[in-house]
Amino acid sequence: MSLLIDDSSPIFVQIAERIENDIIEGLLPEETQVPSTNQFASFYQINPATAAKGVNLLVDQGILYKKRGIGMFVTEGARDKLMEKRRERFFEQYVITMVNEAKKLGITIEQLTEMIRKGGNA
Amino acid sequence: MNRVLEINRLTKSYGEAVALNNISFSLEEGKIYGLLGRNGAGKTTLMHIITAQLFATSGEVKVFGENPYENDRVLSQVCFIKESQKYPEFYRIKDVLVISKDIFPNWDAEYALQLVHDFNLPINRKIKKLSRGMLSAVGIIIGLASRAPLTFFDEPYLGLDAVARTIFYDRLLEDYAEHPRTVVLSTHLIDEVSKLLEHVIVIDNGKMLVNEDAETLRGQAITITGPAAKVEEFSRGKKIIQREGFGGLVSVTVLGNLSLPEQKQAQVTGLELAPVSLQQLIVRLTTDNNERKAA
Amino acid sequence: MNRFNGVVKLHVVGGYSKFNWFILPWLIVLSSFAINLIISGFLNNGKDLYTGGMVSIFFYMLVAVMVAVNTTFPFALGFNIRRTDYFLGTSLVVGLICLGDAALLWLLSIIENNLTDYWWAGLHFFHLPYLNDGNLAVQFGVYFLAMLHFCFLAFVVISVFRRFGAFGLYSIFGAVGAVFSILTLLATQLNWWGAIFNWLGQQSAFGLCLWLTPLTILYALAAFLLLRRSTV
Repeated sequence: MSLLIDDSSPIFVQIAERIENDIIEGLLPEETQVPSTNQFASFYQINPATAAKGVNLLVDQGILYKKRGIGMFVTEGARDKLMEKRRERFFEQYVITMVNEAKKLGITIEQLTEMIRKGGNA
Repeated sequence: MNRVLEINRLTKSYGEAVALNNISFSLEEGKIYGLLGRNGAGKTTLMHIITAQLFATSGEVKVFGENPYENDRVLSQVCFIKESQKYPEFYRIKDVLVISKDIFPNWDAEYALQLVHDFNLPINRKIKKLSRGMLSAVGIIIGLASRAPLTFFDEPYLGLDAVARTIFYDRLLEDYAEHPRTVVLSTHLIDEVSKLLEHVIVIDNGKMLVNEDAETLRGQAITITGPAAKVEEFSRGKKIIQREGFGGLVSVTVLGNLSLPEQKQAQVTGLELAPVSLQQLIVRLTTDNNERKAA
Repeated sequence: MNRFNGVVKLHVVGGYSKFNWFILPWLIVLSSFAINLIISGFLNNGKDLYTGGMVSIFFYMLVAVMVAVNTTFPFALGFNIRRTDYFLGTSLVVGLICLGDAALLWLLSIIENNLTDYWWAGLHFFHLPYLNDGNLAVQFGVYFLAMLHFCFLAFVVISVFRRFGAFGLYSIFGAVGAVFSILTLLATQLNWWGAIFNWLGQQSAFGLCLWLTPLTILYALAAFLLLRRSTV
């Protein structure tokens, strides 16, 4: 995934997604500390308040929690929670889009299923 | 939140020409603002009035709650780095730093020297003999090292190369984190700084066009592309800020978020949705329709 | 108060500013003096040479103040200095330079008149008849007040330029010219010239300088009020 933040969606959403990805991929194991708001800000060259908003989004969802005076940590069970959320979104985000595009190109559902099977073996 | 600046129904006219037309807004403490707009939109005039270097025709300006005119309590807390800053003939970079120490109460001389080193500036060279980029770097150094609670940068990176611009963003964020203050970045080149901004004010033709959270703005417009009839139907009742057509295809940019059902409906009808960046949004808002047709 | 120091500093910071205020004017005066001295040495015809070349420093200061204010005022405004502080700081710097220059001129005139018998060459460069009438304190007063008058004349002229631009400056020159023409005409019509020259003849140099002082104060006040309304 690119390190660059793009300008097409709210940056705090992108920051939250980056952290989520890192948690899912195991780069940020549970109970480890996540970088500070200012570290995020200077790494991505974004406004610290925006970075904080992204982090707080995950705090609200219980993915991260705050240790007073120390910083933000990954909650226990955060990874499972995120996987579940992503699975739910998978249908909307990928399947629907794929089926629409397939219809446009005249690909039948049977052909599509076959393609998916092939993709899985590759 | 403390308001560091309040502007109320500010108008500045030169005879018939109106440079600023009934502008009102306020700035809160500790945020990075973008003052955006095309060249000649009135940004520099506005900052000149805020720092009492120009006089308003009507309206009210309060900086830290007070009138800035001849008010040292206020003026000493403000630093305005302007693109057209004049320097006396013989001043060297060094001389400007020496003077700044007496002018800005929070001046950090050591930090200024470190920045001179970072930007690789010839400290003994006369200001008059600096390139445009070096001159911009001098402004940036003064703006950062002055640590003024309200700092304006007017077109801060004219002539700076990519490396120097990155140094500027790095140092600005670093120093802002350590010494929180209100920073206003005024520019017509929105792309690069847009990520640094927390709040955006757009001025067009002397009028206030946008005064909004940068994050809100980023998700606020969307471009819908598809067959003309379908696009028309879908965008009915929405605020259209731009329309472009070629062949049977039409592309329309609308303001406001699309709800999830709306997004789904668009997908089902075969319309393509594309997000609009801050830069694109502002370009679209500030480009006059007639002007675009003529071009 | 700190920012007032800043104004003082912005006038004298760096080698060039110091050179322009303190070295260059004296380089001009002293080289003119050297040439005059050589000429009077060569002439050696038993007659005294009255050149009064030291007046060049008055004109130098006139120009120097205009140049300085014209460049430092927009700079100071851009650095968020109060116009009042700029005026006070600049007046202090100009006043101190006038004091220093007057003191040097005064010392040189004493050397010329009392110690070296006109440089042993009959050269009247710093000490002139009429101008240097009166006691030593009065002589110092003449140098100081005259120089102050020149400097604040420059200050007010350039302040008109900063406030109203080139057109404003020409208009004011035009207006002043017109007023003088009318006064001249009136004086001729009413036969005042005799009385005027009579009065002037009775005044000592110091007396005239004292008469200039209210004018100097008026210039300063006008410069202040003009700068208060000046923009970038």
